Amino acid sequence: MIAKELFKGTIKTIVLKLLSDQGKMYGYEICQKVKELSDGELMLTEGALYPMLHKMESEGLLKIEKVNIGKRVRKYYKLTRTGKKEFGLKIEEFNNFIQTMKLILNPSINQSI
Amino acid sequence: MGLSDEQVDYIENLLKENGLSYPPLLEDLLDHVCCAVESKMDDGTAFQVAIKEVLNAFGKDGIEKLQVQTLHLLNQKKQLMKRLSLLTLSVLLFTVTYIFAFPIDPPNSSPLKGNAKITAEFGMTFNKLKAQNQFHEGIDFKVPLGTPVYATGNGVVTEIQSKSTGYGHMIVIKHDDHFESLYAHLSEILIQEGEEIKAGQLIAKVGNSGASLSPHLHYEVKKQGKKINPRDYLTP
Ligand SMILES: [Zn+2]
Repeated sequence: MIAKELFKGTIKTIVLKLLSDQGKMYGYEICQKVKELSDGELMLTEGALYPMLHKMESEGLLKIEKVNIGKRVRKYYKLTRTGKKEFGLKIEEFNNFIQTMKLILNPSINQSI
Repeated sequence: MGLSDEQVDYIENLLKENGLSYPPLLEDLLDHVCCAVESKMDDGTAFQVAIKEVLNAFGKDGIEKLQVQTLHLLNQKKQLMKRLSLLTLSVLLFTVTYIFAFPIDPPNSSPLKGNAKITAEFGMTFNKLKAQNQFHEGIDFKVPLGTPVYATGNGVVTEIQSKSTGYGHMIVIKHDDHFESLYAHLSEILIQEGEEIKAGQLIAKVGNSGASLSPHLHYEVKKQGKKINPRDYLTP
């Protein structure tokens, strides 16, 4: 299992990435997809996902499409235009972070460049 | 396989019993739990067992914690918006106060209420008294002795001078933090120092006092202490 704290900061990026690829997804689907993609390594627990979805919606990154299924409602989450922009920024931010960590942990890479 | 309406109702009640009350989250979790239960039932698990397993996966008080966490995140956002709108409001208030406290109000009416001939412009002119070119710091209007002189803007009288040389009888009106107007060579001054003046108010009569050869009004405008061409603000 990947450290919980490290993972928390990346939930947003994962949600953005999945919705960017899939167009629209509902909560359970997102949970399943993460488990599938990470081969069980990342446990995207409901406890972390749903608060984040609601927060991202309130920030204008996501919009909701509701479909009635019998007595329950399925809420599909989609990226807004702002959400798409945010995704681009997150990727850049994440790559920078990875680069920095690599340089810190293995300074010899720096010399070989 | 899909759950029956009764089973969905049953799950909804269970969620509510577990403390879930925020409707948007209830919608999400109802669908989530239903999906998870359906998946387990597809693998052959009984409804009651499946539901127990799914709810246990949230952990003790997990559903309630999830709701608290959600509302906390949403509330943080609301607090931020509140703080931002408060900031906007105070900036607006400050601007409005500033505008009212320090109005920019150039003196722009005519000191003689129009139809007066300008005989000397602002800038380099020939001074008849000194018989040489010199910088003329205002404009001169040739009008008969005793012609009424009016304030060119709202303000306060900051200076009244009566000399036999230079400006002769003279008035300075301060309009705001930026502008002052000056009226010289007067014959009669009809206001007091410190008096508040309205634009267009009668303040003096044209004269020939000080360094003047014939009755005329010498009129100056200062912007932030610097003498400028009064024509820039005179409405024709
Ligand atoms: Zn003059």
